[in-house]
Amino acid sequence: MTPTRVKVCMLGSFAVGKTSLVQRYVKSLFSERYQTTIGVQIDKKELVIDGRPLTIMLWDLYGEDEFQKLSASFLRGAHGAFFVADGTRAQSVDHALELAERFAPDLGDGPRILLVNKHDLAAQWEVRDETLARLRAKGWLVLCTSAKDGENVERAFELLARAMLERESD
Amino acid sequence: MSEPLEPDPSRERELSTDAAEFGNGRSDRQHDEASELERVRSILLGRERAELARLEKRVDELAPDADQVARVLPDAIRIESKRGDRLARSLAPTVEVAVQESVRRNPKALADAIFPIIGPAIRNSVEAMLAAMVDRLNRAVDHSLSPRSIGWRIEAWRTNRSFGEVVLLKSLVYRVEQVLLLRTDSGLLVKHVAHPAVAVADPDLVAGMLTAINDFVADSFAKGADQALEHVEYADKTLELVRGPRLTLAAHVRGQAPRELRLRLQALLEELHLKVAELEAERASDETLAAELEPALARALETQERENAKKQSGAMFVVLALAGAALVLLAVWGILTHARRAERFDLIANVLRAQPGYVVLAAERNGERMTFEGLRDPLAPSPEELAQLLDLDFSGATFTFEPYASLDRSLVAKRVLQALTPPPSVDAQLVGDRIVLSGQATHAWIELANSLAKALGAADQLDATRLVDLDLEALRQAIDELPYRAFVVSAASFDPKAPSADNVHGLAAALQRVDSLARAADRAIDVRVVAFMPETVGVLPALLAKTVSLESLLLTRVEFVDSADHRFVPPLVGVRHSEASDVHEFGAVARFRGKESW
Ligand SMILES: Nc1nc2c(ncn2[C@@H]2O[C@H](COP(=O)(O)OP(=O)(O)OP(=O)(O)O)[C@@H](O)[C@H]2O)c(=O)[nH]1
Ligand SMILES: [Mg+2]
Repeated sequence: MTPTRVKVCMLGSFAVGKTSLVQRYVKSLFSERYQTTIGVQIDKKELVIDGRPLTIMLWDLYGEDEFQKLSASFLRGAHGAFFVADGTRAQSVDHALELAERFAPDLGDGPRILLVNKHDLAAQWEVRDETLARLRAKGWLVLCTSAKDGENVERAFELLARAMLERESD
Repeated sequence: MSEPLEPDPSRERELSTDAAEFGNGRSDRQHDEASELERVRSILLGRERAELARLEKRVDELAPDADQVARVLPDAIRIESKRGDRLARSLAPTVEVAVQESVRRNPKALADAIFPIIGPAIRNSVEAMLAAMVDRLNRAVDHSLSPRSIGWRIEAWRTNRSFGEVVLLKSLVYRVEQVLLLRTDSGLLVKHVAHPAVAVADPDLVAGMLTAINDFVADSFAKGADQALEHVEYADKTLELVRGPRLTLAAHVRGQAPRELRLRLQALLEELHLKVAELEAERASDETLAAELEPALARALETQERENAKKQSGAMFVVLALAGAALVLLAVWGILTHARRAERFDLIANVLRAQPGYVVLAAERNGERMTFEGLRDPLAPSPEELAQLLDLDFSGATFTFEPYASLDRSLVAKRVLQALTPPPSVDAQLVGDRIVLSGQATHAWIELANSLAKALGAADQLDATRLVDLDLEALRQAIDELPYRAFVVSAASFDPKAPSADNVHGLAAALQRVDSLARAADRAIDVRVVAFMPETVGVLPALLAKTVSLESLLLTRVEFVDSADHRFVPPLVGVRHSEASDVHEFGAVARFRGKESW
C-alpha cells in the first residue's frame, strides 16, 4: 500500500537552517534573517514520484537548546526525518547524531538523512571530510547542502521521499 | 354552643301535643266547654300547668330559626377557625364534593372564576423554572468568561433581552461546516469534507497544526496521551475534536455545539475506525480509503444541517479557527516560557544577590517583564557584562541600580587601583583582594599610594614591598658617595675662595644633595662630622652652615678627636637617620671610608 501523504520531521540544533531548508524547498526562498522557530511550523510540498502524487507534510521543529528539549511526541507517526547540522559548527554534527540516537525508537525504521548545511560558507567550514567519511561508512546518508544557493536541497527531499515510499510499499 | 341549637326531640314532641290541644276549639260552646275543661285541668294539674307554661316560654326563646343562625354563623366560623383546623377538616369533604358537582354541572362557571388566578400562577411557575435554568447557564458562562460570553452580554444589552435568552438562542443554533478525519499519531489528513458554501483553508495544514497543538497540550499539561484537546473555541465557533486510537475527527462548528453533537461524532468515529481497519486489512490505498469514507463523513455535515438551515459563509471561520489554534499554541508556549521565565527570574535574582557590588532591593516579575532595582557599585560588572560573563540570558529584564560604593574587599581593591593611576614604571596587579605593586616609583607616589589605600580603608590590602623607592635608593647612593676626605681648615684663615676651600665646598655640595634627597625620601638624616683639630671644632658646622642651608641634616655633633698621640684617626663623616631604628638601613653610624692619605 503506497501512502499519498507522509510526515517528515526536521531535527537539529538551533540556527542550523532547518527552516531555511524547508523554505528553500517549498517556496524557493532564502532569507539571511534568523527568526527562530517557536514550536512547530508545518509546511506542505506536493510532488510526483514516478508518476505518483505524494504530499509531504513537513514538520519543522524548533531547534533544541539547553532550555527547550525536543519532545518525542512531535515525531509520532513520522515516515522519515532529516537531521540537520551546520557545517560551520562542528559541534552541531554531534548534536544531530545525538538526536538521531535519542529519537531512534520514535522513528522506527523510517529513513533518515544527515544534512550538513551552509555548505556555501566554505571559509568557515569546520566539519572535516574524514568525519563525514566515517559517518557514511557507518551507514549514514550524508549530504552537504546550502539553503542559500539551493545545493542538494531538491535532491535531499527526493532521496528521502523515495526511501520512504520504498519502505512503505513493501 | 351547638347544644342549645339542637332541641331535645322528646320534649319537643310533648310540647307540640300541648300546643295542638291549646290551639284548637274556637266556638263559644266549645269555649264554654273549654273553660269548663280548663277549670278541671287547673284543679287536676294546677302545679304542672305552671311548670308547662314556664317551659313553653323557654322553648320559644331557644328555637333555632334560620334567621338567627344566619346572624351568628359568620361569627361562629370566624371564632372556630381561630381555634384550629377542625372546622376546615369537617368542611373539606363537602367542599370537594361541591366543587366536583359544580364542575360536572357547569365547568365554565368555575373556569371563568379561576381564570384570572390561573394565568399568573402558571407564568409564575414557568418563570421560576426558567430563572433557575438561566441562572445555571449564567453561572456556567460566567465561570468561563470567554470572549463569546462577553459578546452575548453585549448582544443582550443591545437587544434589550435577558442574557439567558440570548444564551438559549445561541446555544441551540449551530452548523457543522467542515469535518476532517486525520490520523491520530502523524496528524496526516485522511479525508476532509466541507459544506459547499464554506471556503476552506488547506485541510492538510489544518490537520497538521491541530495535531501539533494537541501533541503540545498532551505533552505539557495532560497526564497522558489519552488526555487531549476536546474543544478549541474562538468567538462563536468551536472546533470539536474526538480522538480515537488511530483516527481523530475534527468538526468545525458554527454556533454552540450541543453536547449531543459530540456523542454523534463519537459514534461516527467508531464507525470510521471499523471501516478503516477493514480497508487497511485489505491493504487499500489512501485514495480508496478516502473515497470509501467520504459518504459517512458527509453525513455528519448533512445531519447537522437539517437542524439549522441558516447559511453562512465559513471561510472566515476557518481563518479564525486557525488563528485561534495559533493563539492556543502561543498561549501554551507562553505558559511554558512563563515557567522558564520564572526559573530565569530566580536565577537572575540569585546571580545579582551573590554578586559583590550589588544590593538588590526589589525584584519583580510581571509576565514577560522582570525588573530589578537596587544599588550597584560602578566597579562591579554591569548586568549586561554579567550576562555575557556568566553566559546567561537577561533579555526582558530591566535593571535600575543607583550607584554606591561597596566595601567588599575585592571592589575596594579595584577602587584603589583605579585611583592610583600608576606611572609606567609601576606594575600594579590585583591578586585576589590584594593590590601588588612592583617596579619603581618615586617616594612621593608610594606615599600617595599608601595614603590612598588608607583613606579607602584598604591599607592592609596594598602590598608595596616589591616596589623600589627611587628616592630612597638615590639617597642611599648619595650617602654612599658622600665625599670623604680629611682636610684642614682653620677658622681664622678660611678663605672660601681659596683652593683649599674646595674641600669644604665639596662636602657642602654633597651634603646638600643628601639633604634634598632625604627630603624627597621623607627622611631625616643625622650627620656627624668628626674633626680632629681642636680649633676646627665648632668651626666646620658653622662653615658648612654658611655655605649651604641644610634643613634636614642635623649637624648635631662635631666630635673632637685628639690627635696628640699622632695616631692615625680615620676621618669620619657619618650619616644616620634621626630614628635610631632606621640606622641599619644606612649602614654603620660611623663608617670607615678607607684609608686615605692626608
Ligand atoms: N550562508 C548560509 N546561511 C544559512 C543557510 N541556512 C540557513 N542560514 C542562516 O542561518 C540562520 C538560521 O537559519 P534557520 O533556518 O532559521 O535555522 P533553524 O535551524 O530553523 O533555527 P531554529 O528554528 O532556531 O531551530 C539564518 O540567519 C539563515 O539565514 C545556508 O545554507 N547558508
Ligand atoms: Mg527554524
